[in-house]
Parts: sequence; structure tokens; C-alpha cells
Amino acid sequence: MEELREFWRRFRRNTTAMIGLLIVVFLAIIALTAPLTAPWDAVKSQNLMVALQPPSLDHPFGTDHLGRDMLTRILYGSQISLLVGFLVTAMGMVLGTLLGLLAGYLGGWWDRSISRFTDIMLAFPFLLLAIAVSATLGEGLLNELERLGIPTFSTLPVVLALGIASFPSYTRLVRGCVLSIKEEQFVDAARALGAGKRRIMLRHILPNLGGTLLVFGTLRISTAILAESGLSYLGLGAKPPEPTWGNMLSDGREYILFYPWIPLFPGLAILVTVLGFNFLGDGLRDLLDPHMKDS
Amino acid sequence: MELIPTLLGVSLITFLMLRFTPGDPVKMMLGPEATQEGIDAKSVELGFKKYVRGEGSSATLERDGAGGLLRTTGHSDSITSGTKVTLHIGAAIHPVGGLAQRDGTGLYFLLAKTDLEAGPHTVSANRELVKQNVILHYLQWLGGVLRGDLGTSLTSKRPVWDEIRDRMPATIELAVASMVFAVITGLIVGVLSAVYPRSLIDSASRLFVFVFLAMPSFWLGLELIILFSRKLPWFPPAGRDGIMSLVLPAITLGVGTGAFLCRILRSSMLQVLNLDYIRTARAKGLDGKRVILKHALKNAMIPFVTVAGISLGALLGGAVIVETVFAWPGIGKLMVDSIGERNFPVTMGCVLVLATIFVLVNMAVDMLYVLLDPRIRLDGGGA
Repeated sequence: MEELREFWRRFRRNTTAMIGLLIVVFLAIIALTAPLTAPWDAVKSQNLMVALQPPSLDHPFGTDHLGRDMLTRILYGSQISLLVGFLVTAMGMVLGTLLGLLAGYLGGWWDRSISRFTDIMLAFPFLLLAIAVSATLGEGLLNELERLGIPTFSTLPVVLALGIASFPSYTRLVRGCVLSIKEEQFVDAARALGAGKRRIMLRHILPNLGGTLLVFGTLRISTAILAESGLSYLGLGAKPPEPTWGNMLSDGREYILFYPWIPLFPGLAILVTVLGFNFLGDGLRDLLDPHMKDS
Repeated sequence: MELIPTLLGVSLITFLMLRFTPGDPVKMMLGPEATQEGIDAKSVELGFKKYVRGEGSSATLERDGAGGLLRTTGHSDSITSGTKVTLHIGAAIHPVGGLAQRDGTGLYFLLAKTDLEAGPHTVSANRELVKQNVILHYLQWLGGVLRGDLGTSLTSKRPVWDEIRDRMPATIELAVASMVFAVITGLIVGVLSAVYPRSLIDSASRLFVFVFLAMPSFWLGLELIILFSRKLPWFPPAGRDGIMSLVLPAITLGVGTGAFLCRILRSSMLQVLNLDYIRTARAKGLDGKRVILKHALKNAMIPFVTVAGISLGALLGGAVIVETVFAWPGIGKLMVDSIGERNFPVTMGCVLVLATIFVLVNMAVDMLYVLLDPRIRLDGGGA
């Protein structure tokens, strides 16, 4: 408890981290309260009478080519961006950390095969791998799950694709950390006291990775959100009329260049969100992990 | 990281993505209008399925006018209703008009027109379509890839490799131009902010780094088109037509990498500028500009070059999106179009080629790193 209070004291003095935290909290509130705060409830329904209106008091961010209120769609879009960001990071972190622990601590055959696999996955450019996986997984997966009667949500293929593309970098990071932690005396001590391999990995080594994973995970949330918007822009994310910040920049492509408020606000929303998580991650890195600075 | 195993691994992952596409990938490729015969033929061509000979069995033909009903018994359960089968009766191969049907007693076939006599026959062998073994399928596919055969485009019917080769110059041109832009931006902004730390220039460059690392490339591209192609008609908004058309896509793709390089250069320059030999050089009376450019920059370049090489991966991935924004006719645009058309052979060909380029460039950067960093050689000499 005392440690947490001390950490918070240092955190508050770090301007970058505080700005990041404020942005992230603000976004979380927006996403959770979107149904209450959205000025119009027409997320999906069209009203061509008010199509392509510039920003006004009625429609602060204007309307798109189908007369939908841009502000409302951006507020709802935050739900998808944040949800995908967190789910992808959770999936990448759990899978990557598990493999990294096994490779780093058990060594030998485990290390050789996991490291080889990780190297191969990292031989694909991240975005390319994500695009390829969601292109092949996309529609087919949703159809198959529907056929089997398993409930799905429209962003599931994106989450899986980005999760698969993400986890190898966690594996490499965790493996490296485990290799140095396992030489520490407290690990020897635990082993001498008769602790089993699983106990040493999960109870002694894993807690020591907390800070590194928190920093890396925060920075990777912004990568995931940026990549999700890119996939949505390419038409590989949640399908219109479901509003995502990415597909708002490609839906009605022929109007976007002629009515500049249409691309302006979704783009700014992505920018501010990614900035928020980057500020938070950078600030946390300064506080928790001075060695990782500027790497 | 050895080259050959890595490339084999890359090919295996690419192959597995195609093979384990949920649902029937061949059916998805050919679309809802495809006939079962068409899907079967394509499945065999792409190696998903193959024909095998089933075991013999006895059959009875019930004649009904020109056609008839052939009932067989003793077939394995692997032939199910809807399987395309060719009957081998006696020495002759006897094609069947309809598909096999299965009921409680066994298989039966409806023959449209036959000269067989009613009564018992011995059906010596059948051919049935089964899923090809994954490993055999991979080896068959890999064998083709090694001979430069990436399959045939479903839309243009041309070899996939020809399609990719045609688009390669556009992508290389864009990647090189973006890298040049990124390196120049990174150098100028990075050096300025390292030479004047904590100044207004440094703060501005920090802002530049944060904003352009967080900016989605497709949005930047759209805004650049609106500003410099629509409001101010300086550059064409799309297509590849001379050097002017290269400017906006190269900036869009390169500016994120430029921001990243700037950050790397700033921190490595600040480290170098605090080292003894720089102070010595200054004490010797060399003027500031010379010290910075000749002595400090040279030594701060090693991480810069490494990161520039690694960034090429992000650049190749980003090119897929940027080429789409600017209708730039490169491999990335080809890949996105092929995804929309479910032209999977082309999609997978693009993935394989782009990933291979990335692996080769990374290897080249590793070698360059050894050449650039004299400490590696000094360590080897025991100094």
C-alpha cells in the first residue's frame, strides 16, 4: 500500500504520464457513456435530408454522406477502438508471456522450438501479417462459428488477427527478461527450498516481469488501435454500418475528399487516442524501467 | 538467424494461413455462382483435394428406359452423398452423370444414359475426392514456389508471379523514396534537437515525433490529398505518373519512420556528444559544426542505420495501406484488391514476396552492422 502511494506520488510529478492517463480515462468514460452522451441516436439509420452538412450546433462534427451525425458515430467508434485495443493486448500478452516463460526458464528443446517459431513470426512485417490473417480468417470464421451456433461479435476476426500478429514480440521480450532473472539469487533460493518449475515461473519470475509488461503492454495498445483503424480502413474490420474510426474514413470514399470535416474528426480521434496511450506508456517507462528508455 | 530455415518457416506460415482458412477456401474464392464441378476441379488444381481409388464392390443396375439406377454395396463410408465418382466397370471407365447418393443400404447412382444391361455388375474401382494430406499439400505448393510458380490469378488468369513482378518497381520506388524522405527528416530534426537540447527546437521536434508516430498513415494521406491536391493543385491525388505523383505517397509512408529515426538519432547523438573524444576535439580547437558533423554524427550513425533497416518492415506493411490511399499500382495495392476479390493465390503470393524482401533486407542490415561497428572487430582481436 505504501509502495503504491509512493508510486502515485512519483507518477503525478511526471507530466507525460499524467497527460496520457487523463486522455485514457477521458476516452474510457466516453466509450462507457456513449449511449447516454451521444446527441443523436442515429448511429446506423440514414437521413438523406441532412446529408453532408458542415459542423453546426445541431451536428457539432457535421454529418456524413448518409446524413448520420459524425459526433455520435465517433463516440460509438471509441467503444470498438478501445475494446479491440484491450482484447488484442490481453491476448498477445497472455500467449506471448506464457511462451516466453517456457522458452526462457526451461531452455533446451523448449527454447529452441519456441524461439525459432517466434523468429519466423517476426520475419513478417506486423501489419502485413495482421492483414493476411484477417483476410483469410475474416468472413469464413464468422460463418463457421455462426453455423456451429457459437456467439460471435463483428470484431472477433480483427482481434484474433492482431493478437496472432502481436504475441511474438511479447515472447521475445519476456524470454530475454527471464534469462536474466533466473540467474538471480532469489530464484536459486526458491529452487533450494524445493519449489517446482511451475511455481518458480508463476510465483517468483512472473511478478518480476510486471513493470516491463505494463510498460510494453501500454505502448502496444496504441499499436493495436492504430492497426485496427488501418484494417477497418481497408474493409477488413467491423463492417459498415457499424461505426469504427477506420471505416468512417473509407465509407463513402467519393465524398471524403470534398467534405473535409468527414475525414478530419475520425482521424483526430485516432491520433488523440494513440497519443494518450503513447504518453502513458512513455511516462510509465520513465518511472518503472529506466533501462528501456529510448530503446 | 539462418536464412534458409527462416524463409522455409515464412513459406510454411503463409501456406497454413491459406490451407486453414475457415470454411471452404476454394468455395470462397470462386464465389456463390461456382458449380460443384468447378470447385472440385479448382480444389484439385490447388492441391486441397485429390482423387483416390476406392475399393471394389458389387453393383446392381435397374434399367428404366435409357437411364437407370445403379445400386452398389460394400463401399467405405468415406464416399458420402454428393461425392463426384467415376465408376470403373470391367475395363472401361464409366462416367456418372449425377453425384453419388447414400441411403441406409449403400450408395446409388442415377445414370442419365447407359448401354449397360440391367442386372448385377462388378464395379472394380471408384474414384473419390478426398482432402489432401497437409504435408503433401505443402510440399506440392512449396515445390511450385521454388520453381517460381506461385499459382494463377483467379481474376486475370495470369501467373501470380507475373502480376507481382509487374507491380514490383512501383513498390520499390515508393519504399526507396519514403526511406530517403525518412532518413533526411530523421537526420535534420534529430541532429538539431541533439545539438540544442531543451531548446524550442528540441521541444518542437519532440512534438513532431509524438504526433507523427501516433498518426494513422491513411488519414495523413487523405489530409495531404485534400490540402495539396484539391485546395492547392500541386500534386496529383492518385496514380503513378512521374516524380510529382511520388511526393505525397512517399511523405505519407515515410514520415512515421522519420519521426522514429529522429528519436533514435537524438538519444545516440546526446550520448556521443558527452564522450571524452568529442571534448578533446573541441579542446583541440575544431569548430563546433565540424565536430558535430564529422566526429559525433559518424559515431551516432550505427543505431540509426540499424533502425532504418528494421523500419523497412513497417514501411513494407504500411505500403499496403498507403498504396491503397493513393491508388499507387504496387504490390500492396495488388494485395488489397486481391483480398476484396478473394483472389487468395495473389494475396498469398504478395505476402510471401513482401515477407521475403523483409527477411533479405534484415540480413543485409545485420551484415552492414558488423561492417560499421569497429568494436565488433576490436573485441575479436582481444583489445
